Amino acid sequence: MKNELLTVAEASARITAGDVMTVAGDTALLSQLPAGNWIGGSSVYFVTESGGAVIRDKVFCTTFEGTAGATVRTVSSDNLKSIAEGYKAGGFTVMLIPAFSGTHTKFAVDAPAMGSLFAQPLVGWISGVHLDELGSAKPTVYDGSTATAVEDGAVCLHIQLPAGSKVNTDIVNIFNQGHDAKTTFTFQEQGFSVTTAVVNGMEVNFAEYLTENNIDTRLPLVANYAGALVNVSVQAVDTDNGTVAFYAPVTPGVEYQLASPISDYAGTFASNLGDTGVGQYSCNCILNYLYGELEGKSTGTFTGPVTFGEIAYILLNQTLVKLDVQAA
Amino acid sequence: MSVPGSAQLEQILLSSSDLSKASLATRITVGRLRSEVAGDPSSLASKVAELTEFATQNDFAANDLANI
Repeated sequence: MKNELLTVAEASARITAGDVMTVAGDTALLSQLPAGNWIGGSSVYFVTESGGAVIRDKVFCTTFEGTAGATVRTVSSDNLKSIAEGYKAGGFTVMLIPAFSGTHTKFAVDAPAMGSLFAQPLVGWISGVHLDELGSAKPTVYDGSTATAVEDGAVCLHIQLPAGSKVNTDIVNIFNQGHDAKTTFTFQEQGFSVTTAVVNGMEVNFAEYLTENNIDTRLPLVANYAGALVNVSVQAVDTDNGTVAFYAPVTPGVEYQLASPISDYAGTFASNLGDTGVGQYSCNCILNYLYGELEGKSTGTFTGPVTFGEIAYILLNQTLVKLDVQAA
Repeated sequence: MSVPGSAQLEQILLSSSDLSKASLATRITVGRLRSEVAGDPSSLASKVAELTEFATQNDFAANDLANI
């Protein structure tokens, strides 16, 4: 697997030569790429070897070398259960979804209970835009088989590996539960927005609770899924309407704790990631980029797009997703 | 790889132990099923059945669960 920043001309030449790729970049660049074995998503924020950066004149390409086959496919929001129908034996799938689309919401809510998705590694991310262009620019994903933009749907790159190859995916969450282990949060309804939460067994207006307790909403709520720490990040606290919006849905029955504060994002990422990132696929969250002020700061050897949500089977927030392939 | 029996899977769903050595797919699946059982204890049998099906269909999951 090879991660590179390429010009449109360089990426186009690779695609035309038959390379199997995921491409992240400005929509204006993605729209110039020819048809081929690729999927793409809009992002202008990247983690590079020298640190976080906004890049609008090149695209970030991950080339999957030595594959036994690859299929590009678009799945509509009402057919997400069919994602796994494209899985190739012993392989993996990379999937991109546009932020704020119906597919984004539906995948976030439905994926955890779609058992078929978990049969082999499924990674990817939610495409975004420059934060200065929120509301004016639209996040896009591209089905490279036809070189067309998809406004609402999931573009999938299903990859088959040669027999004997190994593929592994995992997440790196620099946040931990336990900032205040005695305070637990549960929610009665699933959704991206809530009015109430149950805090230590007592129902409260969650917006009021966060405000009155001066909670730092840059810290995610963290749930422990049998050892996998899964974040839900706060998007907005509306005290006028008494609502709290999230970047991923909260789930009833799941117990959340507020994450412990982190003083050194870049250093914490680097120490959690080690130096094994070269040749791995990864993406990291725009909230980590912003809150950790990662622009210009190196987080180690993992490079990739900075995204509006990460996918490792399910939608994640404030998390780095990584995927490693080992040849037979 | 044989799938652990219902009694063992029941214990996995009723415990809160970290399955740190298990694959991410297994951890997320078990975590979801645990929260569903916690929210509705009467669903335990159906959740064990769901976990059995998951392990039956995926060798890596059977291996994960057998080695807990």
